[in-house]
Amino acid sequence: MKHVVGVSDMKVSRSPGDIIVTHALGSCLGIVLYDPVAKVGGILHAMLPQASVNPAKAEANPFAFVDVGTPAYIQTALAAGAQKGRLVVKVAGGAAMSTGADMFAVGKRNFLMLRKVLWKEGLMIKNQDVGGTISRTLYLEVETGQTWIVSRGEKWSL
Amino acid sequence: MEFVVGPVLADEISGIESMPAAVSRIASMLDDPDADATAFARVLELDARLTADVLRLANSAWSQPTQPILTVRDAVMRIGAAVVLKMAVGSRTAQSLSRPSDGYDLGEGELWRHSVAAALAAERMGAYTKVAVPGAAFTAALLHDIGKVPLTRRLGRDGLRELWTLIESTDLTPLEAERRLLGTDHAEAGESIAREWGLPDALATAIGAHHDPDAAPTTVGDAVHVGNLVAKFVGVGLGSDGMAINMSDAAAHRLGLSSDKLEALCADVATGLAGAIELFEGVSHGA
Repeated sequence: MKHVVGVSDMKVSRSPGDIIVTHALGSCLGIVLYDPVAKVGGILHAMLPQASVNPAKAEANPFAFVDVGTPAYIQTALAAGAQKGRLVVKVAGGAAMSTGADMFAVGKRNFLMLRKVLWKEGLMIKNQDVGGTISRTLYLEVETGQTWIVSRGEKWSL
Repeated sequence: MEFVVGPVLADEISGIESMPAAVSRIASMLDDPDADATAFARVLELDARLTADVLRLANSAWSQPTQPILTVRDAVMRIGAAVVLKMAVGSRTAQSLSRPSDGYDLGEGELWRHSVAAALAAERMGAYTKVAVPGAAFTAALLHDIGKVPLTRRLGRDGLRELWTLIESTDLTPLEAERRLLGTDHAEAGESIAREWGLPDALATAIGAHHDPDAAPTTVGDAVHVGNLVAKFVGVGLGSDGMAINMSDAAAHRLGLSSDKLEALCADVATGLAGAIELFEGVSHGA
């Protein structure tokens, strides 16, 4: 079954037939977690780096924010049977506009925040495809843990 | 000022459903302190479809009247002239902007959702900026990409593919590539459409400058520029150009937006977006 993860949402699955996909990652981050032994995997589509800009929204939906959404997402994966020591982390998105300074660098701030959160969680990023100006669609095949990106009609693995 | 756009895309532009004269009248009346509900009603009642739209909105679940509203004047008093204007523009443009746009890799309704997100950002922006953002920013942001409609029609599927090949094989931005192929771009075409519809100058200018707000800065122009970026940050209407657009830090500075405020605005827009889309769709589809 195919599961589409919307902006500010996540999906964790342990069903071998599942494909998880999230569309149109611009400055947002798509974060894959996968435990190859338990065959549990998921995607989080986070929009903004920090919950402090809107605590009420963060309470209603933490997955909009990298700083509070990522730990909650990790917990969901662990609850589904993944083990932290086996978790593979992959990241896509975090694009930037063509020009402009740090003011609009939401994608970059998202990625910096993710690295900080993962460091605290004791997790490393295995593969990443971040930055640039492209919009990415990210796929995860739960049975194999294979991940790939589609953008502008081209496909490559992550 | 001379417009080369008119002749270039004249046929495609004339195929877009036009704004009723009442819309531009209302837009200019918004800044007139003497214009009351009766004055707005007089203008609206000249247009049967607008009258029907306004009454429908005033009686909708969204505005929740305790008693049915039967006159346009009461409707204007109930929902406010600014909302009437937004709705009038929205209901006329929803259809044109909802068509799928293959070349820009935007599915059905995606350009429309992007436009609503930008408009919502422009509307909410005033809560985060140091300067007051005029109400016209909402309407200008809603229409900022209207120029993509005639461009898509002119290029057709093959032309749009050519446009993308050009962008990928050169350093041209999407806007520059449009100019190379057509002698105009979607911002200029949009400005032309707004002028043809008789919309106020501030609105037309802001649409024309939405990718280049620094040449002759206005607050409405800055708000539309940033509104377009916010819509992209919340992930609506990225299309095949993705984030490949120029942005102006100067526009954010003029508005007095910090990066924190910008992100707070993004969160705000993401929260309100579904409701805003629903409101417009209710009106434009006659729900």
